[in-house]
Amino acid sequence: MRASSRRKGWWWLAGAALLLLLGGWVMLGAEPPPRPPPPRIDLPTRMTSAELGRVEARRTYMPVAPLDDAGLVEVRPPPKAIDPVLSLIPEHLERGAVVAEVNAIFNSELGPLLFDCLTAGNTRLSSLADAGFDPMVHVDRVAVLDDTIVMSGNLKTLPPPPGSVVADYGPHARLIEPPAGTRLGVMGVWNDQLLVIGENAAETKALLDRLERREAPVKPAFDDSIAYGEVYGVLKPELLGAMFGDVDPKLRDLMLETTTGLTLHADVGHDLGLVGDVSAKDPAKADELRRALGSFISLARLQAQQRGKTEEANLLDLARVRSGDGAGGFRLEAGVPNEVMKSMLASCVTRGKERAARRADAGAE
Amino acid sequence: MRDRGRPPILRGVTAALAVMGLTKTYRSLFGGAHEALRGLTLSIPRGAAFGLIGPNGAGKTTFIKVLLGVVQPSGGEVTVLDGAPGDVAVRARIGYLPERMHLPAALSARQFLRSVATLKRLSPSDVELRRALERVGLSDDRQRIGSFSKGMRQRLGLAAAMLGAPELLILDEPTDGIDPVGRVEVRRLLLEEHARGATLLLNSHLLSETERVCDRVAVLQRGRLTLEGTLDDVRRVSTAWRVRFEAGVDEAALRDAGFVDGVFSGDVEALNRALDRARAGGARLVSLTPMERDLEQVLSDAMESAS
Amino acid sequence: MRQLVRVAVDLLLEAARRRWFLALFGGITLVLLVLGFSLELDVVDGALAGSKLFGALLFDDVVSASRALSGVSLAVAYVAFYGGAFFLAVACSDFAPELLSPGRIEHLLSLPIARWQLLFGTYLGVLTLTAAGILYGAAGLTVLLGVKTGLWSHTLLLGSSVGLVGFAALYAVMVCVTFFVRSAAVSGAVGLSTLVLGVLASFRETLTALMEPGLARTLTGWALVPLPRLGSLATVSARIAAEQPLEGEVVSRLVAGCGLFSVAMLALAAWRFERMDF
Repeated sequence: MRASSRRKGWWWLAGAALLLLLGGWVMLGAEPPPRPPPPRIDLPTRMTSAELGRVEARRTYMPVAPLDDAGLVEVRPPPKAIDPVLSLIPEHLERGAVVAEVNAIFNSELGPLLFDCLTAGNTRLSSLADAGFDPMVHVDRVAVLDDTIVMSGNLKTLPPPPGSVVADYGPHARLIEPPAGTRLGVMGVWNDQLLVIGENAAETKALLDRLERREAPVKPAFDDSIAYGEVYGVLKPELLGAMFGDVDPKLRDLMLETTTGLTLHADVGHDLGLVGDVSAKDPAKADELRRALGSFISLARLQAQQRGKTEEANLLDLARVRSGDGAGGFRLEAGVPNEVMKSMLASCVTRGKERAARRADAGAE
Repeated sequence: MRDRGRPPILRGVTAALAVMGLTKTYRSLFGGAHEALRGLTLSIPRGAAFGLIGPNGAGKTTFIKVLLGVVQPSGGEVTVLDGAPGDVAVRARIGYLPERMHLPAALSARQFLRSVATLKRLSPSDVELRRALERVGLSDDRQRIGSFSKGMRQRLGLAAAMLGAPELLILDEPTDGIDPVGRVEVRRLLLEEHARGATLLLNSHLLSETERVCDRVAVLQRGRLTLEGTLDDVRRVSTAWRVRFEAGVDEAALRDAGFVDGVFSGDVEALNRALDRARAGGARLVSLTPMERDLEQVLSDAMESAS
Repeated sequence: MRQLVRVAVDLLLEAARRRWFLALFGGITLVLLVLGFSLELDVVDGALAGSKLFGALLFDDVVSASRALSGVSLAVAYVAFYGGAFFLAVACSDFAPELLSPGRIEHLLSLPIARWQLLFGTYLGVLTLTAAGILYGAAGLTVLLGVKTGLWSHTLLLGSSVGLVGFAALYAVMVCVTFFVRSAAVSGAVGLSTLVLGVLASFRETLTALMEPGLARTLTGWALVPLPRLGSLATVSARIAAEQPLEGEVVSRLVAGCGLFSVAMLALAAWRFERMDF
């Protein structure tokens, strides 16, 4: 063998260079796409400065009704600025009280869609519009207080239901009694700013009296310190139990047995963010409930995944049960991202329109 | 046909290995160079037991590594078992025992032999491996190499080298670290291998071993071959003669002619002249034999003449 | 091929006899046992109601067990990748230099085996050793979490296997450098440097965008091109373990790229090996 002829393995070097270049080319741009950030949903966990301003602006010195008997001197407590809507909340709630900041919601990003969803195919709205009443503009808040409904806003143009009997009730209010046979309760309009709907005339009058402080003042179940978010209120165990009753009877029983109530806050304008602070009687039982709720959510998520309902599973993925506050209370959080909200509302609108079209067809026949 | 293109020295020779003009220069990163082999030309016939002797740093180990393809020559030509050194097929026919063998301490003797056998493309049975170990005097085939003495390691290395009955056995200091009794055993093994027909290339500092095993030797000095031939040739001294005359000769006359105590020192011409003078004085020659040296002397003389 | 495998098997045998396996697997087993005894996962109907490590509360939120495990798998996969790479660079750095030790390499080279087979066999042996360690750890953790939560997932094993491609690239560099400088310390240091450079290469575009336009930026951009994207591979491995969505093409390209890089490094080592005297 001639020394100079010995193989030097140059092809190894050529191969190395070639493979190095090829490898570099293959890896160019092969970066894993940035991890999609988990959808961030702003949850209403505290009152913002804007909301504080809103609360303060709503505190009003209510006009005091004149004394019936000029010969007697009644000693009244000094007037206090109150939120008229919240002042109607009963002292002891049976099922719950929820207030919706309707104007804020309708004027948010999702507002128009939400409005369309709620009103799609509703022909009665046209009569309201004919009267010059636009719920998008003229309604400020709607509250459901146990069995009573309260609506605030500019109600001057709100037409009474056809066939109703309207009568003044004091200098600032009037009573509207719908014709017999309708399911609507007796309405009371106060100062063209507040509408209360009671089951009967006595209940409506009592609410109007309470508003004008003709009765001894009542301490509402909650005050404006929880008036943040776009929907807020308190749900009592009976209502909470009823919500879970069909799905999980055990959970309903535990709910009834353990909780004293749930303070709810929700933001609807962009994403849907829900926060529920559960207060409980017994910390040990509350922990059991906390775990049961966590399991319920996980199970629902797994079931959704198994059924291929990815969107539902993803939504449930955003739901969580936060650790307790030590006194037995704990927090539930849930959210629906903006995109999902939009798609849900859009399909709601479509369904509503289809229903209306079917009704119209049926009417024509 | 195989001779076509070969150097004249290599043509027609059934050599186990042949080198011509072999050079090896080690170069350092900083431009320094060390010539380890300087134009070595040598041929070792098949079946020979060849001893390579020389002082430290003479280039013996480099030469062996060139034959194995472990070191690349800088120049010259090398043929080993009719192939190129380093060629896998050629290496399959060579057994090699390095000077300082690093054995995996964690393996047992049998595991090591099994590994070498696989790498040599052999598939010996456990019994064959045990026999190979017993042949070199290692009876416990499960003993870890880590607990081996230097001599035992050397024996194991020898067993590995002899595995598969190679045509060429290259042994670098095979008896290093082995006790005198062990050396006799190793020598016996080498002679057995030689008798089997294997070509032996032995590099050993123990010249007596080389002398007892090899039939050909070469002296390597500073990368050059200074002496090479059969053992008898290199041991024979051309300038000293043992002479015996018939009895009754005048001792003083013989001493005058140059024969002191039956020994004459001088070249052939001087010897003949001295014999003529002795015969003229009536002496009758009975026997004349050239004097022989041992390899130690051979090496010493070679180094002296080189310096 | 039989000889190449024999070299790998010899390396494994030697590692086993040197108690290397004992150290590796003992260490992993110890970590698993410590986790097994100290990690309390309170699972109720598929939800993780609370987790404690060494008795300290990790988190108390009630979350879905599968989601919590996904997070655990993500973290474990990252730790396993970077920890494994570090371990590999340090603990395996002497295998290749050992191959080239005087007295051993001459003997090996005298045997009828090609140099590249010796090289690839050693590489294969170390990689097998590392793979065994990684898969043992991943399987152990899968079993541990499975027993504790009742949820069984193979993704941790899958993610770890993808991570092994990164180790392959890392060790290829370490082997390659041994044929230029026979030193376990240098091999280990180069391994660690490659790990850092591999992470930087994953952010090549971001890094170069941060630099001022000019020669330095261009050179940096090109210099990082052939390097294995170890940071990205770690991310991919972790995402697979955590069952997070990934683009198949990205994974394939990363794995293929790292594979090509590894073979390129071994080819470079083989070129150098062919020219070396011992």
